[in-house]
Amino acid sequence: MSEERRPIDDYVLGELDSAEASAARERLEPAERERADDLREISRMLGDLPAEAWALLDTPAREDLRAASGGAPAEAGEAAGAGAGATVDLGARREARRRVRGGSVRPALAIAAALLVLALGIGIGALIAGGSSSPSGRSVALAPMGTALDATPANDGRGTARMLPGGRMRLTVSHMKPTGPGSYYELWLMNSARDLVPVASFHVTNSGRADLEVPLPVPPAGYHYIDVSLQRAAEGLGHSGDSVLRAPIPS
Amino acid sequence: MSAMAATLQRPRAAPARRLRQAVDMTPGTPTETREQRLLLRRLAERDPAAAKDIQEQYGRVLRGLLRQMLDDAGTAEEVFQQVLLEAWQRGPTYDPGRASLATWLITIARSRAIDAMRRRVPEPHDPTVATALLDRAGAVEDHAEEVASQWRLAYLLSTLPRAQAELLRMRFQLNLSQSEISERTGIPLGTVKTRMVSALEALRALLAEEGEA
Repeated sequence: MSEERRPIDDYVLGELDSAEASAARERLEPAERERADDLREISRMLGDLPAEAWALLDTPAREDLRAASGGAPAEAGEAAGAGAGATVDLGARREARRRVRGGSVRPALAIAAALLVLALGIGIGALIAGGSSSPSGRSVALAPMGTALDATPANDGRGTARMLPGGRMRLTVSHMKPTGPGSYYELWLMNSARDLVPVASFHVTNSGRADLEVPLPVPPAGYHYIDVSLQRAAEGLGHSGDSVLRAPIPS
Repeated sequence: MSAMAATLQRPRAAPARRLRQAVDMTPGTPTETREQRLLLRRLAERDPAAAKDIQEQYGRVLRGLLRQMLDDAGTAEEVFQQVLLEAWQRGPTYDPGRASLATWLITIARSRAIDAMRRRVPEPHDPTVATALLDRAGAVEDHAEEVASQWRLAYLLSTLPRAQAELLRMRFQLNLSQSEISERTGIPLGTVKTRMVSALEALRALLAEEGEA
């Protein structure tokens, strides 16, 4: 049997017309037929899923973020390798991305990069405090990631991200929990737990506000989400898994 | 024989119904992650952090389900908060042996969504419209059942290895043909088919795992 032509697979995947499907099904043994019918029904149900349900595959869960930031390097590496061919629906955008995989970053380089990004973010944030520029372009509102039962002040945060000409972004946040010693906020462009890029680090004072304009390291069109996480310097470069604000990037 | 397999072998049930039963109603506890075990413990202890854990681990599923059911983001968010509160309040009574946590939460969300939809149905002043309203109420429950089963399946899909899930996405969401998937991925056509069937098998196995009480 040719590898390219397996009627049972085509039947299961709904690739045959009704006559071919009937013929293929009739040739199966009863037990195999039942299995094939189940798989075909699962295929049908998958075809009926709304787009929002498929989006579950894009949104990183906290455990995924932790794994990607070093908690489970073997699993992250395996998934990255296995997904290399499977995530090509994202097309050429992927080539422009820098990926953060905590398990593959050397510690010294990671710390140096973290300090550099932190200094850059804080410096730019301080320079533009007071906001003399008048940003234009599309903006998105960032929603808090907390819950009604969670009184953590950070979860009352809100923010707006505005894309600026020249590949820059302006982020304005308020009602955020002030960052203490050893902690800071990180702005990310994100597709998934294993496909994200850090944009800038920043602190928030007792005012609960921050206003920063930063250059984007990659085109934002290649990403689905803007994410702000609360980071702890002692825990490394990767996403902490503690997202406090997030918004989808309009296509 | 697993409960899933037994359910699937009932001769009187059509495949769609049998799988719907598996997706909707079968008890069981799929393999738990460390995060899920921590959440279970917090639920049992009625720890306020449990609500945050639910939001992080199941918020996307529950919000998506509620938005689709209610077709109103504001109402969906309001009901979502009710679901969090109810799950937190009922946490100590949750029995992992009867239903997976995802199934339990989706069931709560479905019930609260139905409540919200029923509140939209006006009280009949004209007795002749009562039958129509009853029919509508039945339709509400059917719709809720359908949506809940979709999101239950979506949740299981999200637990598949990413490579498997992405292949299924290319075929069933993006409607790419197998040949197109082969061209895009550089994977030989026969391998694409084999991997897609394997992914479906994995999903079937998850359904079967759900069916094991």
